[in-house]
Amino acid sequence: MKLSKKSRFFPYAMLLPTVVIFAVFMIYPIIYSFYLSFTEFSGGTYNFVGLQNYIELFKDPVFYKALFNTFFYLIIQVPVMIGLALLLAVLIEQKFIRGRGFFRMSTFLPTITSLVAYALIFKVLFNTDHGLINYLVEFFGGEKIQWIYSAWPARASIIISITWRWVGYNMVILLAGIQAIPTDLYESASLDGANFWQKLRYVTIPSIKPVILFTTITSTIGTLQLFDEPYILTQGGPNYATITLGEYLYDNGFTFLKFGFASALGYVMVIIIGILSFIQFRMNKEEK
Amino acid sequence: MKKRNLLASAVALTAAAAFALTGCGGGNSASAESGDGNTITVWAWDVALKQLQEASEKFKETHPDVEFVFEEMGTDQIYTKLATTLSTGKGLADVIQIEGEQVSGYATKYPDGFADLSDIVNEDDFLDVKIGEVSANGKIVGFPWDAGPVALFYRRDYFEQAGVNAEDIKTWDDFIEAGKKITETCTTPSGEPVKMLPIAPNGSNFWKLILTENGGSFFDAEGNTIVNSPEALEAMEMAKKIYDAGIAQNYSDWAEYEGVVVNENVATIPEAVWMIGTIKDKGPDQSGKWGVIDLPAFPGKDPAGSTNGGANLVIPSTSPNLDIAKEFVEFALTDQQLQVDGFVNYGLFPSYIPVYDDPTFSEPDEFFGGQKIYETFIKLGQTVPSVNYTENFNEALSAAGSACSKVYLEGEDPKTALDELQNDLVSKFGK
Repeated sequence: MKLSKKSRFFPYAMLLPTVVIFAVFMIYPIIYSFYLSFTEFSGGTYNFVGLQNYIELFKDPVFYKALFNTFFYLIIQVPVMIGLALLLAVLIEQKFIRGRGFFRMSTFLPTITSLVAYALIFKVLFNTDHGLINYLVEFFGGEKIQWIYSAWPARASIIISITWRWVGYNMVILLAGIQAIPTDLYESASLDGANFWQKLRYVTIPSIKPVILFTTITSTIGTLQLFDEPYILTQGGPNYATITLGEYLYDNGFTFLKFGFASALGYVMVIIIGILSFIQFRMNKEEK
Repeated sequence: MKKRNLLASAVALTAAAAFALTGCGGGNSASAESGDGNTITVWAWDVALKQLQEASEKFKETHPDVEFVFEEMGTDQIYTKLATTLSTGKGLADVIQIEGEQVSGYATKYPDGFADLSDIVNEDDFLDVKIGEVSANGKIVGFPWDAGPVALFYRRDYFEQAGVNAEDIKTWDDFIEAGKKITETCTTPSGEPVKMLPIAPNGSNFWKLILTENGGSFFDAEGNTIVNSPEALEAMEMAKKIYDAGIAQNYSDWAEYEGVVVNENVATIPEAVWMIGTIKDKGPDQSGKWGVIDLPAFPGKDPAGSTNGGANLVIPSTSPNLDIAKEFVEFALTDQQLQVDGFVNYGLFPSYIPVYDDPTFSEPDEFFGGQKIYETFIKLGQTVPSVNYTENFNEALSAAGSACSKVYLEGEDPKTALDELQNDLVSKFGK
């Protein structure tokens, strides 16, 4: 059946709202901020300064600190979180577990908690003198940890917080992958005498590899853009020990009003995220 | 036919989306739709908002046709709004509260953003420090409101317990000695040791406070960075000495800062006059326990004042209700009774000099043990030095916080930290 001219136009008309919104909110800012990254904002106007923002950025010691912190979070937090999410997903799928819905929901709940509320509560938990975490540390014979006031514990507190918040989200995605694995695979594994770990290693993980890759990539991007937790928990301190690229971008744009510099930083982040995502896709392809 | 309907609705939807986009700049504010010249939208925070609401009631007595819309906005919200919308001027309120140290930054970056108030601000009627804050590009771009003269708030009961006489604390060295006695002797109601003062080891608040007292600042009159001046170094060494004496209570944000009043775990708070409001609000059962003395001086130097915070009001130049907004701001910040009430009720120290003679200010305050604290602050207010903030202030503040945390937490030598800070800022600002 041949489509009339009008009907061929029809799908595009239906797409129009999305395309317009996408263009205005995504494409336009992407292009405009690229232009901004070559300008300096002063006296109410944007003046073209060529590559100056990029040059300043690569000379800026705080940029390297932010870069280091961001990668530190990435390298520690993403594997820990994905591993934990996988473990939880597998456990929840075990036959002997009762009240599966309850566990699923309570693991997922942190994801939908108000961001500011959760960060504030973690701030109270990590309080040096009155916090619950230090209380437990002391109860088990440890010494009070200066969570907010020393560099490594402050970084650790950020990692603990984001892991708590996002592990449930990734768990649900992995769970969906696990549930799609045909049960006969497990049955034949059982017949061959495979134990829990062997099933996990030879059946579950290979079957949901694409799902694991998906969660890894989204978590990588999320961690690279991390902003809220350091902003609320530690304000990037002490001495920039917890600042991320995202928070540094915000500071430069909206606190220091250096929109050009902030845009340049944004583009450097785009390039880094692009490269990492490319590598992850490549690794997956090669293994196939 | 059916298809055509769908098509039409798709187009309509797109049009609606596009329409919503053009409108979204003004979405959060009533000012966009109130260009009728008699509805004033106000953004302010905390007690200042309450004070302006009371002013509006009084203003309506003479201007019955003027309507007000009050929106409570925190400082972060206001600055984000200003940063994103001052360039277009759309979607801003008519009257906006802004911290004193922030005015010149926005006024320099957006020279046409704020209305010129030179015609309603008589410079001789206000404290110099406040006129300095609102002057930019040779204009007066804001109306001076509350000033932040600093004094030392102290707990009479803790001082007595430790046998410390407040009047004897003349220098910061005296302060440290008294602090050691108090930390050894006193405990809070929940049984924890009392510290002498709160310090945020991640930030530059305390250093900045005594830096101003010592006659230093971040920038000189031409905007050159001078963070490693002898005054700055002396202040940093003193800050380190106080912190290292183990008499400081750490805090990291405003909630924890208020917490030191609630938990009663500090014996003093070196802070600006507006702390009166916070102390009364957070420690209502501590009436009679607080007192106020002058900030301790640097050893061998004369006592001097310091300043912290205090706000001003600005009017965006694009406000459709410019004239009436100006009239309201002038009224709210110069009406004698309103200034007196604002000070006594909320700790909003008026920078409008003609009201200082008001008899209310010579009355004692029972909460502060019957001390005449308003007189003390009015005397201090006149000694507060003027500070040049410049458009680079926020970036310098952030870097200074980092330098302070190195000194407090990582044992960095004050001179090294300040020299490094100076180099860093000069390379960023070019001066």
